[in-house]
Amino acid sequence: MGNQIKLTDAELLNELKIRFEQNQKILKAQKKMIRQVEDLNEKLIESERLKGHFLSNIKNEINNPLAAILGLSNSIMSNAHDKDKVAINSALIHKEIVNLNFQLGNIFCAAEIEAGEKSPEISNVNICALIESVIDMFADTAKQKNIHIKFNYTSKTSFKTDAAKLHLILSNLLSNAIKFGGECSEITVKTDIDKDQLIINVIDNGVGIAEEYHAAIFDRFKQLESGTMKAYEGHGLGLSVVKSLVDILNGEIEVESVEGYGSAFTIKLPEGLTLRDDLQFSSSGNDFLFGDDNEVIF
Amino acid sequence: MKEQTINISGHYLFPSAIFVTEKDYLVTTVLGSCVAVCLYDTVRKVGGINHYMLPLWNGKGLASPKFGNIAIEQLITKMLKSGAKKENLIAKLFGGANQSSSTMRIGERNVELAIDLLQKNDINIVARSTGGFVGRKIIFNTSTGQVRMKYVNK
Repeated sequence: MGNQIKLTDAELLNELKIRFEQNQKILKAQKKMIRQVEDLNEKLIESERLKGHFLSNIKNEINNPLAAILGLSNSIMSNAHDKDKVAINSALIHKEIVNLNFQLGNIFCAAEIEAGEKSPEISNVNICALIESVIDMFADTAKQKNIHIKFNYTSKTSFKTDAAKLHLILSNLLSNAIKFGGECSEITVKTDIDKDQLIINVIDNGVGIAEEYHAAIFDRFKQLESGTMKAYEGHGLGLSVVKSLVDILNGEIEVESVEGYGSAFTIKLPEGLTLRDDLQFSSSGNDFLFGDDNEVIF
Repeated sequence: MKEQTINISGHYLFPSAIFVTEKDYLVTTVLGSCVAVCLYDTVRKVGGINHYMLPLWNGKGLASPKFGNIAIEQLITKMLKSGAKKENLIAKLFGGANQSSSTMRIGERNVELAIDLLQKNDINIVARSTGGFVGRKIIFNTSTGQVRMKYVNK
């Protein structure tokens, strides 16, 4: 106690004031952090809840086409002699199976991404042919709603990317555009290859998405409407799969949408590197890159 | 080092992926602010590695191993499924460079998370090269647990 420093009253007051302010600052930061934790917690609870919805939802998504296929195949067996009927029913079965295959593809893909088992597999892809095959896949569904799909492209069509992933990305965007596009509306698919970047737009003039929901649409299992009364089928997995696939391909996805006027989704992908181009090490490349003075061994 | 590279299959580990094997592999990956945790069972010779980009999943998008908390839990689970025993596991930690000031200390936070989670799981970190300002390229030998590392300007 012998080394006490004498402070004037003014100094003491000043010091108290500084410490008081510091405390306030810490308290403020703490409050902010608690709010963040609460937000996150709410999000996780919501995510769990949505997962529950997803399971009951998925039952319908899979059961309905399965029941249809069962019925149709039965009818084929009992009308085997009637060629016309067989042809019609086979076409209907095919349509249901295409849809089922797409739905299951999304679920398997989501499971693989969540297990860390999806990596880019880059090859030279004919982008136009790929987009045409996606449009073809949904031609029947679009026709049912009298939706016209326009496809514009530039002359260059070859691009290095992951064909299967791009196919699933576009299938989801187009399926959504058809689902949320009105009867007799129009969907435009545009593609442009600009230097080392592939840009694809999928534009519909359907129901659109209010601005406050633009961020939430990529959340897992999120559909802006939920419950048994929801107007649109689906399980809310599509866009979260799209987002994750675009991430894997180092790309970006943007959405522009006005409620009531339609939505425009834009994906931008950089040209992929085949493993041989850059990253993969062969035994010889490995010796070249490694084994010099710079290497450290752990 | 030459004899190592002969007759061992190679695997390139992409960001957000996990690779676990009881076979002999040389797993290569390139890290900037991302972090890779290499786990190795010293008795059963099982090796596994992840490569995550961000520390925590925030409920957005899919719950994928792009996020450290998911990537590390999954890596441990997969190691145990492949026959590894938790008490034999050692960890080596790489990456987490802070390459630009605008990334909000992502590299550092990625590293902190790994240390935290590995500690919680009682897994010893026997070697690490983390932080700094330049990227790293590593080759992980799943049959020996050895990691060769080189700094790269990525």
